[in-house]
Amino acid sequence: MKILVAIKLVAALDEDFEIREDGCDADPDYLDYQLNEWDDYSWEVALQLAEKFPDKIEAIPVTVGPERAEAGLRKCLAKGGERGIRVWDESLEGSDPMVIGHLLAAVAKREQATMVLAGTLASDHAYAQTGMCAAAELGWAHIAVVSRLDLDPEASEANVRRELEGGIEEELAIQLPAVMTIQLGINEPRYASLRGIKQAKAKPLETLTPSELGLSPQEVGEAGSLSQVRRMYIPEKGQAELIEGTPAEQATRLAEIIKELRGDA
Amino acid sequence: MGSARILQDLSRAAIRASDPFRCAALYGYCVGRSAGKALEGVVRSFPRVARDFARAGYAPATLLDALGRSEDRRLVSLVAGNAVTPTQTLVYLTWHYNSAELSRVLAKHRNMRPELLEALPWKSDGAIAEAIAGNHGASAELLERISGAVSETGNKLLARNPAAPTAVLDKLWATGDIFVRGEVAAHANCSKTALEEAMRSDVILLRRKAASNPNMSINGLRAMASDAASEVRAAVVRNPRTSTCELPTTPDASARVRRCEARRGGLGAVLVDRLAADDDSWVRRWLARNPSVSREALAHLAQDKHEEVRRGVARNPGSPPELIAALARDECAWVRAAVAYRQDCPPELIDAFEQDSSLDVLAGVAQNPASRVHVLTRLAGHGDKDVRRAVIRNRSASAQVLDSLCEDPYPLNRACLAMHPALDSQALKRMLDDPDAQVRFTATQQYVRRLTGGSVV
Amino acid sequence: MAEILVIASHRSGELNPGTLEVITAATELKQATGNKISVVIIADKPDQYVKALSVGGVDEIIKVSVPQAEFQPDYYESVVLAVADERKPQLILAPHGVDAWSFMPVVAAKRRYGCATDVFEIRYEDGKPVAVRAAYAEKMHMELDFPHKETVVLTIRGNTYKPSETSATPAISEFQAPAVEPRTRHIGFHAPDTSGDVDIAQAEYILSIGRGIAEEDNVEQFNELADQMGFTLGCSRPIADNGWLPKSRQVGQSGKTVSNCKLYLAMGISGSVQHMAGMKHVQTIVAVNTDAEASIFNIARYGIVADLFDIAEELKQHFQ
Ligand SMILES: Cc1cc2nc3c(=O)[nH]c(=O)nc-3n(C[C@H](O)[C@H](O)[C@H](O)COP(=O)(O)OP(=O)(O)OC[C@H]3O[C@@H](n4cnc5c(N)ncnc54)[C@H](O)[C@@H]3O)c2cc1C
Repeated sequence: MKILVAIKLVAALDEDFEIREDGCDADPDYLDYQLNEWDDYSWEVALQLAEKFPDKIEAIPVTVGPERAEAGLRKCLAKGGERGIRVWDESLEGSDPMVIGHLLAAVAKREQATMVLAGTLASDHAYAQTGMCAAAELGWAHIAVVSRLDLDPEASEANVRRELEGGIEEELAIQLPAVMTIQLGINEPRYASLRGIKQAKAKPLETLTPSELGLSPQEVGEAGSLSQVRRMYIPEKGQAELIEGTPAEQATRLAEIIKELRGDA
Repeated sequence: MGSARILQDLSRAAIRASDPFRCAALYGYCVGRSAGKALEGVVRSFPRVARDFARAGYAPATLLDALGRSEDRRLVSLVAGNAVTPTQTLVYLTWHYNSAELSRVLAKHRNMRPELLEALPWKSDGAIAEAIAGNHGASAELLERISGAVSETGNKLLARNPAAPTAVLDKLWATGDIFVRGEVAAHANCSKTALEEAMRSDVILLRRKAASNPNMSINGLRAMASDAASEVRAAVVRNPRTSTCELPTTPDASARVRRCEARRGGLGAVLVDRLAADDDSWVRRWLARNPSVSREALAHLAQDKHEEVRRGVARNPGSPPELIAALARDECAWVRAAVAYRQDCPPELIDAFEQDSSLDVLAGVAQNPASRVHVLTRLAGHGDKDVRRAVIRNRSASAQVLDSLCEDPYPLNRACLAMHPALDSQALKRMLDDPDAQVRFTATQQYVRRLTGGSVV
Repeated sequence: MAEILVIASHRSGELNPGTLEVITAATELKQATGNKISVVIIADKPDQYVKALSVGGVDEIIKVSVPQAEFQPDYYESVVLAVADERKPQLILAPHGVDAWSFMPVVAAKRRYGCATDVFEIRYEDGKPVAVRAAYAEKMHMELDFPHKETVVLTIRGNTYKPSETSATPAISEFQAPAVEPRTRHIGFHAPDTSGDVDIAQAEYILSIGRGIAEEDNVEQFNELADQMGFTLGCSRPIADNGWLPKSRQVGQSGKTVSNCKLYLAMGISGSVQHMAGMKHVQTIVAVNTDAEASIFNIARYGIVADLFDIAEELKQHFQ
C-alpha cells in the first residue's frame, strides 16, 4: 500500500519586509523558504508506518511547486523513503489549494495510493484546505486535524483521533482509502542523519506537469482556483503598544492589564 | 601550509560555493584584502541573510562594520540598533549620515561615547534628547544640558539615569509626578533634602523608594523599620545598610518582610531558627538557598516537606557532602537534578545517577565536569538530544567523547560541538561543509580562530 | 431574495457559540445586501438547538435529522450540498474550527464554489463578496475575491463578531437528509491528559524568563513572582539547558507549545524564531526587554522597554 504525503516549501517572512509591486504578496527579497512545519509530522507518520510494515507500505513525498520545492522533497528523503514526486509548470502560477488538491488527487490515482496525508495547514497562508480538496476530488473518506493514527495495512479501516477544542480528542474509525490532515505534536519528527542527507541527493525525483496528470488549462492557475488574491497589506495594529514611564508606573499598568484580563477585582 | 594560505583557500571555497555563512565567518580575518570585498559581496547577495547578521548578537564585529558602511539604509539602521555594534562603527555612523531616524537609534546605543552622543542633533529633535536621557553612557554634564529639552517621558528616563547629577534630580523632584519622584528618591545622587521629604511622605511608593536608597542614613532606616506599610519595612530589610543585627527578633506580621529577611547574608543563629520554622514556604525556600546559613539549619531544611525547599538546599554551595548524598536519593527528580548539576558532587553519586529516569537529572550528569569518562561516553549515545547536548556542553568532555557526537543528527548539537575547545581539529574541519548553515558558520569561525589565534592575518 | 446559509456547529449537545458570532457576521451582510439568513442545524435531534439558534437576524432555521449526534463529515457535506443545490445561496458560512476544516473545503471543492477560510472581514464590492484573512503568521492581511462564483463558502474566525443575543422567532422548516453511508465512525471522546505536575502547555497565564535573567541565583525571585501572580513559570531554551528550570518548562520549537495560554509575559527573552514557534499565537503577549529592537516586540501586544529586575520588583508590589 502506498501513502502519499503532501509537502510544501513555505515562505517565511522576515521581521521587516516590503510588499511586492503588484500588491499581492510580499517582496520575495524578504521571503525565506523552508519545509512547512506540519509536513515534518505527516512525513514522520508515513515513515513510521513504512518502517513498521517494511514490505507492505511505501511512503512517497509529493510536492507541487517550482524547482526550489525540490529542497523540501530532499529534506524528507534524507530521513527515509526512496523517491519523490514534484508537479509543476508555469500554468500553476496563482493556483489556490483547490488546484493543488486536485493535482494531489491525480497523483494519488496514478500511484494507486491508499492514503494521502497532508499537514493540517501550511504556515504561510494557513488555508487549511489542500488535503480536504484532494479528498473531494478523490471521493475518499477524510478527516482533518488528526493527532493519532493507528493503521494495520491489512484492515479496511484505520483508528484515529482528531484534536478538538481545549485538548479534547475524538476517537474514530475511518474507512480506507482515506485522506487525513495531520496535526503538530502527533509524533516527534526525527532529524536526518548526515549520511541520510548525502544519500537523499541521489534519490530519484519524478517531475510531472498538470497535463500529464490529465488536468486541463481550465482546471489550473486562477481559472481552476476557488479564490483569487486581490491585495495584501500590512495590518495597522501589528506594533506593540509601548507601556512607558518608570518601572513602578509600567508595572502598575501591567498589573492592571493582568487583573482586567483575568477578571480579578 | 601557512595559516594565511589556508585562510585563502577557505575563502576561495566559500566564495565559490556562494555560502554567505562561511563568508561571514571568514570576513573578520580577511579585511583589507580583495578577498574581503568578495566575501562581503557574497553575504550581501543574500539580502535576508545580510539583514539577519546585521541584527544578530553573534555577528562578527568586522562584518557589522562593513554592513554599517553599505548604502542599504535598512541594513545601516539594523546595524545601528544592534547592541553588539562596536564603537568605531557607531563613530562612522554618527559622522557619516545625517538622518534623524538613524540618530534616534544611535542615541539609545549603549556603546555610544559621551562625545558622540553630544554630536547628535538633540537640540532640534526631542526624540533624540529623550533617547540620550535614557542612555546610561551619557555624561552628567550632557544630561544637565538636555534636562530642559525633554518631555515628561524624558524626565522619567533622566530620573533613572545613574549619571544624572544632583542638580537635575532636585529639579525633577520639585516638578515631577509621583513616579518621577519615586525614581529620584531611589537615586544614589538624590539630595539629602529630597530624601528626607520622601521618607516623610504619605505616599508608600516614595517611602519604599527612600528605604531602598543606598545612601539612606542608618537612623532613617531605623525609623522606617516600623513603618505601617509592609512594602517599606521589606525595603528596609533589603537595604544592605541595614545591619542584620538590627533585624527584629520577633517575627514581622508580613511574610513579605520575612522573605526579605531570609535572603539577607550573615543572619544570626536565632533568626535562622525562627525563619526555618516559618509557615510561609517562600521564607524557607529563600533560607535554603542562603549561602550564609549554618549546616545545622540546612540539615533541618533538607527534611522539609516542600520539594522546592529541599532543592534550595541541594543548590546551596554551603551544603555539606552528607546532605548532598541524602538529597541525591530524594523522591523528587528536580531535587536530584539539583545535585546532579553540582560540580562538587562525588563521582560515586554521579555514577549512581546514570540509571535515573529523569532527563533533567541525566542532563545534569552529562553537563557535570566531575562526571567520569565512562558515564559521559554512555550518555553521548543517549536517545534524547538534550542529554547529548549536555555532554557537548560539558567543558571537561574529552576529544574522544566529542568525536562520537560529530554526526549527531540534531543540527544544534553539532553547532554547539563546533564551539567546544577540546574538539579535535580534524573533526572541526569536517564540519566546515555541514549541511546546516548555523553549523557551517560556527565551525568556520572556530576553525579560523584556532588557526590564527584569534587575530586578523 | 438571495440567501445566506449558516451551518450551525455543536458538540456533545452544546451549541458552539461561534455559530452565534457567524450569525452576527451574516446579519451585517444582510443589512448591506438584503439577503435572507437561514441556519442549517444538522444533528440526531436538531430540535434541541432551535431555541438557542432563534436569535436576531435569523429568518429561518432548517432542521436536518441525521443518524449521528456528533459531527460526521459525510453527513454534513451531503446535507449542505443538497440544501445548497435547492436554495442556491450566495454565501455558506460556518465558524472556523476543527469541524469546519473537515467539511467546508470539501463542500466548496465538490461544486467549485468560491472558498476562503479563517475570514475575519466580509464586505460586498460591486455586488460581489470580498473576504479578508491573515497570512504569514498575522504579519499580513490578504483580500480574496471569487471571480465568476455564484456561491462562496467561508469559515469565520472566532472572537471577531459579537455573538447575536437578541431573541427572535424565525420560521422553522425541515429538510430531508440525503441517504449516505458515513465513512467514519465515532468511537468516543478522550479528555486531555492532565497527570504529571506543572503542564506549561495547558497553563493559562505564563511568566516566561530568558537569558536576560543572567544567573541561576536570579531564577528564584521569578519563581516567587510567578507564584504571587498565580502564573506558571516557563522559560527559553538557554535557561532549561543550564538546568535552571526543568526541561518541561521550556517553550518553543524544541520545547512546549503553550496552547491554552491567555497571557504570556516574556521577560528577558529576545524572541528567536524557535522560541516564538511555541507562543506567538497567544492573544496577549507582553514583552519586557531592555533592547527596544528585540524581535519579541514584533509579536507583543504590549511592550515594556525596561530592566526586567526593576519590573519584577515593582510588579511584585501589586500581587500578594
Ligand atoms: C533547532 C533549534 C531549536 C531551538 N528550540 C528552542 C526552543 O524550543 N525554545 C527556545 O526558547 N529556544 C530554542 N532555540 C534557541 C533559540 O535559537 C535562542 O537561542 C533562544 O531562544 C534564545 O533565548 P533567549 O531569548 O532567552 O536569549 P537571548 O536571545 O540571549 O535574549 C536575551 C534577551 O534578554 C534581554 N535582556 C538582557 N538583560 C536584560 C535585562 N536586565 N532586562 C530585560 N531584558 C534583558 C536582551 O536584550 C535579549 O533580548 C532553538 C534553537 C535551535 C537552533
